[in-house]
Amino acid sequence: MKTDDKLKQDIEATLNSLDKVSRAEAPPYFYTRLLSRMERKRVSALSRVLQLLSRPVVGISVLVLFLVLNVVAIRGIMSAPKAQGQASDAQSFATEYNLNTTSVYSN
Amino acid sequence: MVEQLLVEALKNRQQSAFAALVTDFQHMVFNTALGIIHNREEAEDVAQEVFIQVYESINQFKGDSKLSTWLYRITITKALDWQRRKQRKKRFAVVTSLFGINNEVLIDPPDFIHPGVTMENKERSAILFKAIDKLPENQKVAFLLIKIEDQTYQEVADIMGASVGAVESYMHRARQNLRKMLEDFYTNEQ
Repeated sequence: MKTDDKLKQDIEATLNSLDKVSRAEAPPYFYTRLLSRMERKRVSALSRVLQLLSRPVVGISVLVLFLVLNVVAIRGIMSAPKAQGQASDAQSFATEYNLNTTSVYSN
Repeated sequence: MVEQLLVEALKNRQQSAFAALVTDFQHMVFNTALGIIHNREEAEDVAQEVFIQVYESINQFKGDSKLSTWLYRITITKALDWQRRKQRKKRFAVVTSLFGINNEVLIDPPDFIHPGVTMENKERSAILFKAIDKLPENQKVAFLLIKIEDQTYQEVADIMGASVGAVESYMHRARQNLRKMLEDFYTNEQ
């Protein structure tokens, strides 16, 4: 069994054992290894996206979405002149019956 | 002013600025991570993660604190996360080995000797690091930043987002807890 004094000495010496510690240095070529890890990460992120797109479910979904958007766009283009025609019919009707005035009291 | 320019250059994705950042802070980040993780290879991994995080989220840095304070915060968060994951894995391995699912042999890591410790203190510091590992996180972080990174109480308070009084309290309790653990260790040594 240790004496109290020896025990206290040991505890204090151990507690103070980090007092003159110097800073540990990062390993050599740290920056080079960091850059290569960042590059690997970038490539793997890109390949994950490509992998995702190459899955049949995702590929077909993207294709269907593309087709639907095209159909919607074409229908929009086809119906546009008709809407314009309807608008001009209404305009001529209003002119004919003098409905263009803002107030019923104005001439 | 120089730091502001560096941050601006980092936000503009200048490669030379990133190289300067790593050159200036790599030892600080590595040493802090090593103090928590106790393994050179793993501390290097964490240090790399810290710089990747800085590169990716530099736009979130508002400049309210020093760049070094921000780096310390990221390093400590990542190192503590790493340590928690490792402890979870260790616990899981123990449980699975009890049920005979995992036949992996569990090996206790060797005593950690910090490379910056003087020759005569190597043995004692290894004992101290084992005890530090058992401290609650706040006490551990405060103790390590003051002892191995030579930070002031004010700097540690800024890093931890606490008051100086709180840091003093963490240090006081850390010393108390370490004394108790060391007393148990030396009493049972023989």
